[in-house]
Amino acid sequence: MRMKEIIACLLVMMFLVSSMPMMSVPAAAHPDTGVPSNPDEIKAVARTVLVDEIMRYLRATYLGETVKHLGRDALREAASNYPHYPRQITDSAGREVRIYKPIKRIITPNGDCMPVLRALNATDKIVGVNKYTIKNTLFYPEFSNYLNIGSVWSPDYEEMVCCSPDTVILYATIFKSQCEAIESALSAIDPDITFIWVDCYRPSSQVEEARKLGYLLEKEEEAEKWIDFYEGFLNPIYDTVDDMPEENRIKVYIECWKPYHTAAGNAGWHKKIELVGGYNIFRELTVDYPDVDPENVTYQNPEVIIRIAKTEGGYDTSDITELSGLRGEIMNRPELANVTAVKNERVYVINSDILSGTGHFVGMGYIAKWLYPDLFTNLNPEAAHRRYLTEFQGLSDSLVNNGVFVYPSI
Amino acid sequence: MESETIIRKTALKEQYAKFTGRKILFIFFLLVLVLLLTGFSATLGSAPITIGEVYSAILHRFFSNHFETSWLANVVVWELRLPRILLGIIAGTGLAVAGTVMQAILRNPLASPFTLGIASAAAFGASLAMILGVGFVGGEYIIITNAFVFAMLASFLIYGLARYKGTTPETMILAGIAIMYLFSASTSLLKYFAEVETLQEVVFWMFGSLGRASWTNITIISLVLIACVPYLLWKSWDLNAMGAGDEAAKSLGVKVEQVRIVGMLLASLITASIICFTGIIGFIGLVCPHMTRMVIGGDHRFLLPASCVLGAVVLLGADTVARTIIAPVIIPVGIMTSFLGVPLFLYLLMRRKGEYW
Amino acid sequence: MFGVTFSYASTPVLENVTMKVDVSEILGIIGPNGAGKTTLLRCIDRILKLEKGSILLDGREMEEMSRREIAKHIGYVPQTTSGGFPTTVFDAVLLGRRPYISWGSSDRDIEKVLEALELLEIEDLALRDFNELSGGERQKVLIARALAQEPDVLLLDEPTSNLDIRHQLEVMEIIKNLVRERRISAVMAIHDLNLAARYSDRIIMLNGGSIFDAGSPTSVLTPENIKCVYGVEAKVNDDSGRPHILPIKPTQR
Repeated sequence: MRMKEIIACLLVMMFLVSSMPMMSVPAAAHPDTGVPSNPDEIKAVARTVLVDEIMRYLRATYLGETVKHLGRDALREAASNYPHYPRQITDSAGREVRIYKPIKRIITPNGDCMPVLRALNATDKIVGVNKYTIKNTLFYPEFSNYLNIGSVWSPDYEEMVCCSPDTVILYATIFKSQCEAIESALSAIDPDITFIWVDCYRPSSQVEEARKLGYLLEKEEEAEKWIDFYEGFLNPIYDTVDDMPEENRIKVYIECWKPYHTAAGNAGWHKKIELVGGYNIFRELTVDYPDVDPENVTYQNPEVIIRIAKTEGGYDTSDITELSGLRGEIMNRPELANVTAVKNERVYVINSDILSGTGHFVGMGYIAKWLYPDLFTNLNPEAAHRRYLTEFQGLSDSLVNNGVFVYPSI
Repeated sequence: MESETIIRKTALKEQYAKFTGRKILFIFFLLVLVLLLTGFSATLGSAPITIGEVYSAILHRFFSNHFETSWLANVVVWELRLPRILLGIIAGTGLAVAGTVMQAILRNPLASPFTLGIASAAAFGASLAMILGVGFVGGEYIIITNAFVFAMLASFLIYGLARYKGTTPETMILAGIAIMYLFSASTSLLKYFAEVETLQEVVFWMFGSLGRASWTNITIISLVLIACVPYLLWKSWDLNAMGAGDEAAKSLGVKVEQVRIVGMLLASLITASIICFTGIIGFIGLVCPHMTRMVIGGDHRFLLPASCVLGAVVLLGADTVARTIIAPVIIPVGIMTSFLGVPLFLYLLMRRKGEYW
Repeated sequence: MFGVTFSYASTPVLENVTMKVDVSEILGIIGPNGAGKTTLLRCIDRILKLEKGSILLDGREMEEMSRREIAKHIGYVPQTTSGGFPTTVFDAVLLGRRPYISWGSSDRDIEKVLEALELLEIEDLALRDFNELSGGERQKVLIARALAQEPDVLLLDEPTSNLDIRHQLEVMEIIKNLVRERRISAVMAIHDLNLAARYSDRIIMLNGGSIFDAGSPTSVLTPENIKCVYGVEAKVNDDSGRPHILPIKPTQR
């Protein structure tokens, strides 16, 4: 019996080794992200991983070492999927993720990955979604009947188990302890579940994460198409503002949700606005969303004020007065009356629907235009918004017509 | 023998007069402290205006011929600093007076303006507005009116229960605890269905802040205080008598039930009208009455005004620190009141000889 | 006081009690636990509302008097309490002036307080914290407070409970002298039969909410009455005109 196994393994090894000459020398994986981008690279990674798994199995089985390894059947299955699998990435939390066969059943406690999965045309693999996705029938009409797995704070483990997922997409940099809890609970039930930790809402990791997910889901082409679109919109903006010296950048006061509540530190809105060339007057603060002293805003005299609205405007309303009211309130604050932004009427209101999640590039486009109207005359955020919805989200662009997102409109 | 008694009496009288004088002195001292703190706080802030400019801006309003002011100084002082300072003073005053009255009518040292579930009811009302957008009026006043109406609803619920079941402190406190749990559970339920940003808004509201200061809300709170506080001061003796027990108070001619109910409703009204603008600022109402009592004793004729002024000092002091310590970031004042007030409270508690309670 | 009836939540505690107190008289109310002594005192002071009957004060119907007015005529000394918010003895006694003042205290009020303190010989306690006093001292303070009310009638609920013998006698002597000197009446609920016998001018023996017997100490405190009301066999000796009770053992029920 034992002998037979050894022989089997050796055969596998031999097979692998023998296949080596057939491979062209693999190009280094994708230059930006280390993600394999063509069949050869995929195969190279698969080979490395499979060899490693076999070695682990052998060491554990015959040398009695304690290493994490696959079971015999799993290993056999993994080998049978070669050279398309195994696939391996390092996810955004720095964890090594290996999958040995095609992903078929995904649940998404991280709702921010939904638009990316849509852009990758991979939503047919989703079997359970979080409660916010279900509630948002306007943006996710096709998911309203899916199993509701709760949220990262209040996961519904029973529903999760009912989904019998093979893959769970969690957050990488936020809700860490909640995501860890979900991982340990689910892997106790089924150790074969794969956990992918990605954010999907950050500009800094958007491209990389899309590429990695595309690779893991065998949607490499779709991923590249989406990345082309995304980068095609944002990179020209970055290229224009990147070399801009600090003293030439427009001084912005960002106001989130309520008066004198700003974004700084590691806050996403602060970073997004600085990415498109804004100079946040509160960039030095280390708190992410602090309350600030109103007179400090007066004193720092921003050239532009951007108010980010949450409940006002968005996909679900066409009443522009919600946004214009916010702008009017800021314009009428006595302490801001002499501030350059107010005097020059450069106070803008934007709804967070287009500045958060995957759609953040739309909002960033608007902000870039507000900050540097002369530099971005050809930039058309609204057209990008429409294309994003129709081409990558499978939605109608009537959502744009029926919603209000910015005030004043461009 | 006779003359000796007279001498002794005179001595005692003098002693008592001195004792009373000390209390008045303490109140006076606190009043001066509030004034100094106001004057000091008005000069602090991140706008680059000098102390001289601050005071010229203040005086300019009254004697425009004699004092010059710049637009910046004027707007910073009159639109930002003074409203915030004044809101701190009146909110501190109101919360402290409400706390003192609650402790007296419930004869309970742990009572505070929030004992009867007022805070959790207000928080529920505010959450209802923030999370579901449901309210009695729409628009920008939805949170304020919701918080106010629900806070008053809680106190009327207590009133109803007390009428039915008797107005003893025990009944009212237990009813208050029940109501508190009911509303916090309801708030939790709302929060469960809320989205991330909304949740944060609720959390921020519950921290309490003087950032929403405006001349309008200062006027509203002041009117409530002007309407309620004189009545409570006038009832000082009744509050003193109730400290001796309900029967004793009744035998001294106090309409105990009436004073308790009216006191409870007025304290709730004061609290509700403050926290609907500021969010929940908890520490003042519980601890200022105790701190005052440790210094000048339990006579409400002096205790009420003194703890009012102490409340103003503590809240204004805490807010001044909160907005300057890591300026331009403003720390929620509710956090700062505890950081500043607790050491002071513990110091007084330790310094006191013998048992306080 | 005629036909007074009172119930706590439909359990009658007092039934049809009729009694009268004269000026300069100490009326002792005795009876076993739950006989309604305290309830009777509270009814007299209108702390509790009568169900039936009426109480006349100097011929005036008390029902028609305001609480403040009653407080000017009747001083109530509750059983010693402890706890509550800290307050000085002076302020505790000054509280007795509450029926007369609205906010500020006049010289006359201070004078009255000093008088009361002096009468009870507790001037030296004036600025001490009430809660830090001994039981006997507190009892005196409470009596001083009732005196500051300048009452015509003093109601005392177990004035000697929790006191040592010396304080018991001191307090009782003070009450006796007050009643004689100031021509006021005192009604006291009291457990100690010997103290009752010694200091009361008349005694009312309550049992189960109604008057069992009333009259002079000698006529009320008989072995038969004691046996019947308390269920105790007792020997009653004559101690210079006052009965002296020596309990022996509980009777078989």
